[in-house]
Amino acid sequence: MNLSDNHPSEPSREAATVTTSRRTLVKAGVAGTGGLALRGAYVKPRIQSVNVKEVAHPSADPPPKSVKGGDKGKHGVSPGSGTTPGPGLGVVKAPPAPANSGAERGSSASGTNAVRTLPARNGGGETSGNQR
Amino acid sequence: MGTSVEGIIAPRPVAATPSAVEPNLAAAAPALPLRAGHVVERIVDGDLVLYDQNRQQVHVLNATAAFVWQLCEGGHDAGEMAAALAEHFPRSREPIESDVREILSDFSARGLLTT
Repeated sequence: MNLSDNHPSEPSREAATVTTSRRTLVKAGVAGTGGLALRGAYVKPRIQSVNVKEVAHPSADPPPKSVKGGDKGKHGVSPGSGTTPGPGLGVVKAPPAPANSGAERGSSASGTNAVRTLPARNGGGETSGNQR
Repeated sequence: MGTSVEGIIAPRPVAATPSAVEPNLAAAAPALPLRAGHVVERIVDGDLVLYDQNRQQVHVLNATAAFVWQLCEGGHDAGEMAAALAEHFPRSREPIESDVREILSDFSARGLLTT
């Protein structure tokens, strides 16, 4: 393609653009840069690139971390299903539980297990003694 | 002929220290380079800035590179671009053409041109 050749008879509009004269090409090139004029001495064309992903991600990182933490927490609970070994040592480990909520549970129907273990040692005589 | 580069995208915050984006400079530019559609343009502080929406990369071009970039319309080869560029500078055409070919390869390597 020779830029110095003008062919007014070219039927296609696209072809007319391609066969623009060199002068037009130069002017258009300058105008196309939206005001970026070529001034001064020739400077080798250069391009500098920046990865935007590395800038945008830090603000988005915290949420994923919290989600991961939640998952680990769940795993930590499941192995501690001490409820399973609990019944085996129920007589020994039962007292700490009533210390916090034992009073409330003791009065409820669900505290029957805990109530049975405690009165068997201490409460049996004392309660009866106080009542009397 | 020219494509407007005004107000296409809003400027985004960019890291103070640009990270190295290493293109494959061995990539050959198409015979008739054409700007990729996913690349948007904007002039920032006198520089032509390209934003690659696919790779999420920002490219800053100096005036000479911007001149070549604007000629990447799919209708001009490197020789024609070099000739157009040489009209602006009283300099031998050969180094200019080699520079044009180099920057075109750079454009292509960075995914800025349609293949």
